[in-house]
Amino acid sequence: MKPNHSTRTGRILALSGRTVTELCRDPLSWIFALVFPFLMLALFRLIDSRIPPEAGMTQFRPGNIGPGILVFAQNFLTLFVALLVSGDRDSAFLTRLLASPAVPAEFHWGYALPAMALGILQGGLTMTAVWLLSLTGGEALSFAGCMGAVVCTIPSMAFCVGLGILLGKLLSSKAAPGIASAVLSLSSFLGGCWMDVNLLGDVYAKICTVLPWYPAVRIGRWLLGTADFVPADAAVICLWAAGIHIAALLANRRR
Amino acid sequence: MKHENSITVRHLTKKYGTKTAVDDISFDVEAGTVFALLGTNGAGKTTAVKCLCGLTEPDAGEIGYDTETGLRAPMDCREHFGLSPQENAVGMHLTVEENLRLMGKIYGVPHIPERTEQVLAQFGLTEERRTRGKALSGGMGRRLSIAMALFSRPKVLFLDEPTLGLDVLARRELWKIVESLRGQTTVLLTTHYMEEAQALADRIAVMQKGKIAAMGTLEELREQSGTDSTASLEDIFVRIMEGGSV
Ligand SMILES: Nc1ncnc2c1ncn2[C@@H]1O[C@H](COP(=O)(O)OP(=O)(O)O)[C@@H](O)[C@H]1O
Ligand SMILES: [Mg+2]
Repeated sequence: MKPNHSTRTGRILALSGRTVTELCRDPLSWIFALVFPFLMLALFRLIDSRIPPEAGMTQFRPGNIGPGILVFAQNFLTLFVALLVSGDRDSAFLTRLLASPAVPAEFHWGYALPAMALGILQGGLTMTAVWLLSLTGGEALSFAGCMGAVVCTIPSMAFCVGLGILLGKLLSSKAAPGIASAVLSLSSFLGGCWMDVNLLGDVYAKICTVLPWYPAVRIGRWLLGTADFVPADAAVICLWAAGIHIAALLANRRR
Repeated sequence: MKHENSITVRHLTKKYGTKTAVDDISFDVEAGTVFALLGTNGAGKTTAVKCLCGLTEPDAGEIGYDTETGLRAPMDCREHFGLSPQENAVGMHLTVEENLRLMGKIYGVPHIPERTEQVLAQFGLTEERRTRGKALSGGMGRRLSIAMALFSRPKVLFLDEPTLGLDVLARRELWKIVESLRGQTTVLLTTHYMEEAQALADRIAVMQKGKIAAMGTLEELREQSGTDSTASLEDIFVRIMEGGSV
């Protein structure tokens, strides 16, 4: 009889497949992650339509608000990855998997890869909606720019996924959703998703530029032609993304 | 070859804070035999199993598996283990089939579809194949949980309270399956059912408060506890518990 033989890639794929199946069959959280950006876009369109053109306020135009919503919505990934990981930790099923030949790093990618695929889907849908909206509003954005914003904010999305895994590993399934929701709310302010961070003073603005959210929003805006490119932004996001994944990989509390 | 996959445990100790869950236990399990850890709740059986399969780092002691490539630690033999944890450990949103196939993929089992059919039939799960984990009855969930542990044809099988929650008939079926593994698979099972240890185990270790209070074949336990040849394991157990360490 042929002996058993599993490879690292094979195990990561098996664990990813399992994550996808579990997610597809427990759709509440991720449907929310896909639908919520549309609700926000509709809301800001409504607000924008009430602002008289003479006011010259462009803050809520698709080119400005789109990247804000794109980055804000990525934080939903933090929320449900944290839910998934902390929930798994409560179950004997994970005990069984931990006793298998699969090692912690393989579990990490088994969670992260499907979540990032969902994040790309989320970003693609959101930015397609932003683009369509811009066509109706007189200020047409380039479709390439919209999709470019999705691609160039993959590092901040990776950060959100990594943060979700870290929270899921460190917190109980009771505490994880609360903390992840708090991060979600914070990110909208610290990311300047729908307000100008400079309104709250220089110090606040400075803090925002060294956290991962605002640089991601700004890169998105740059691709849509509504902000300038700041080279440090890319470095800041990538450092956060790498750092959080390393932290999540190292946080293996053995009980 | 004779000792391949035998287990050697020496002075195994595991503490949780100030509580010593497993307290300096030593035993050997011969390859292809069934070894039972028998004890009441809280005796330390689950903790011992977790140490043996590499889920928990012991505070002291050694665990060795005699393999083709020499004596190895638990962490280095995990592809040869099968574990059925004390609670039903199945993916709640996965179907019975998907749960089994996942095991196949993680362990790299060849010919997964054929093996799946075989295991479904062996455990009487064929009709439930498309039922999701959370929709299974307690007994069916138990069967699946054990079937998953056996899917990879492990060389060493850990069964933590395998028949907890099974009805009489299902229990007898599981006993038959364990019986059929004798000679090929080294089985370490924990139980608090006397008749289970009596029916299945070649050797029994009676655990009490983290220690092994007595160990041997049923005959040896009889002798050690000073009971006569008509004494059941229950009589022996009661005698050992009352008398403390033998
Ligand atoms: N994770 C843990 N943290 C703290 N104490 C534990 C833990 N697991 C087990 N214990 C304690 O160790 C002792 C042995 O438990 P366990 O191994 O589960 O026994 P058994 O499986 O024989 O019922 C019990 O007193 C239990 O409360
Ligand atoms: Mg137990």
